Amino acid sequence: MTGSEIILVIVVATALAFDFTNGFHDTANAVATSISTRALPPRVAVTIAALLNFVGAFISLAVAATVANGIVNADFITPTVVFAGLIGAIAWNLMTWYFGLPSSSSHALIGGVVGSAFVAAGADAIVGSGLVDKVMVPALVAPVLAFVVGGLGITAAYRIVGRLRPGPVNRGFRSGQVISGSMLALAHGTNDAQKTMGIIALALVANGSLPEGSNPPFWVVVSAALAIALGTYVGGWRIIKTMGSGIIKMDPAQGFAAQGSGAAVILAASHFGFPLSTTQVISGGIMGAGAAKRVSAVRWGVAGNIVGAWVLTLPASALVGAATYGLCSLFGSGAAGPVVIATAVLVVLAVVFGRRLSQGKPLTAEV
Amino acid sequence: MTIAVVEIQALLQVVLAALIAGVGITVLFSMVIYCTTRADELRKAHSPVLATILGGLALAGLLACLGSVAFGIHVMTLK
Repeated sequence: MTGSEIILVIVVATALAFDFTNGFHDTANAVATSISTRALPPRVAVTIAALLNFVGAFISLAVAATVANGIVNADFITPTVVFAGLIGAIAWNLMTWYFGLPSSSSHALIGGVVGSAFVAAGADAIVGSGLVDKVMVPALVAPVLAFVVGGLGITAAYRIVGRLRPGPVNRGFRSGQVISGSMLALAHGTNDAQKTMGIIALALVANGSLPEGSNPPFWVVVSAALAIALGTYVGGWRIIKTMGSGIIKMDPAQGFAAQGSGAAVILAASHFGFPLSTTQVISGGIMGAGAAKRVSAVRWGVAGNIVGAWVLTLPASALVGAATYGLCSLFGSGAAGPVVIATAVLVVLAVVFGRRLSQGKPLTAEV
Repeated sequence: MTIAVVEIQALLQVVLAALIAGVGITVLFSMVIYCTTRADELRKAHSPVLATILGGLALAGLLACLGSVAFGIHVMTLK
C-alpha cells in the first residue's frame, strides 16, 4: 500500500466517523420535541429518524460541492487538510455533545477545514467573503428568524385552539409532530450525508481513484448513509435532553410550532438557495415558542450557553484543525502524520469511553 | 454596491418565504385541529350540517398540509 493510499483510507474512515458524530449530535433536531411532548416513545423516535436519515442520503446524489466550497480555495485542499479539518469537527462535536449543547456540525466541519488550510497555505487559502456569506450571515439569520417564526406560530396556534378541550388538541399536535419530525430527519439525511459523500469523493479524486466531476461510487453513498443512520440511532441523549426539556418545558402545540415551523423555514430557505443550520433553526424555534407564551418560561442561562457554543464553533474547530495539521506536518508530508494522529485519537477515545462505561449508567433513551 | 443590494434582496426574500411557510403551516395545522375538534363536538350536539362543513374544511386543510409536505420533499430532491 502506497503512502497516498494509506492517507486515502484514513480520510475515508475519519469522514465516516465524522458522519457518525454528525448523526448522533443532530438526532435531537428531529426527535427532541417529539420525545419531550410524548408524541413518540424515545426509542421509536430515534429509529424513525435513523431510517429517514438513511433514506434521505439517497434522495439527491448531486455531490454537495465538497468541503467548504467557496470558503477555502480549492487549490489548497489536500487529503491531509481534509483529515485535519475532520478531526477539528469531530473534536467539537464530541465536546458539545459532552456538555449537551446543540451546535452546527456543518459549521464545525467548515471551521476545521478553514483552520487546517490556514496552517497549510496561509491566509490566501481562505475566502473571507465566502466565510461571511455562507457561515456568519446564515448563523445570525437562522436563530433570529426561527425565534420570530416559532413565536408568531405558537401565538396564532393558541388563539385558534385556545378555547378547545386540551385532550384532542394535544393529540392533534402530537400527530403533526410525527410528520414534522420525519421531515426534519429526511432533510438532515439529504443535507448532511451529502457532505461526507463529498469529502470521500474529493479524497478519491485527489488520489486519482475517481475522475473529477463524477458522482460518488455506490459504496460511498451506502457507507455515508449507514454511518449517519447509525449515529442517529445511537442518539445524542445529552443534547436531546437539553433541546427537549432544558430550554423550555413544552406542550405539544409548542413542540409542533418549533418543529413544524422549523422544517418549513429550513425548506423555504433551501428553496431559495440559502441553506440554514437545522440545529440553529430548531433551537431558535424552541426558544421563540417558549418566549411567546411567557418570557420567563425560557431558561435563558441554558439558551445563553447554546448561543455561546454557536459563537465558539468556528474558532474552536478551526483551532483543533490547525493544531492537527501542524502536528501532521511535523512527521513530513507522507502518511506518517495522519497515521500517528488517527491512532492517538482512537486511543484517547477508547480510554475516555472505557472510563465512562466503568462509571455506570450513561444517559440513554430514558430522558 | 449592486451585489450588496442583490444579496439583501435575496435575504429579504428568504425571510419573507420562511415567515409565510413557517407561520403558515402552524396556522393551517391549528385550523385543521380546530375544525376536526369542533366538527366532533357539533356532531355530538346533533348539528350535522355544521359538523359536515367543518369536517370538509378540516379535510381541505389536511390536504393542504400534505401538499406542503410533498412540496418539501420536492425541494429536497432538487438540491
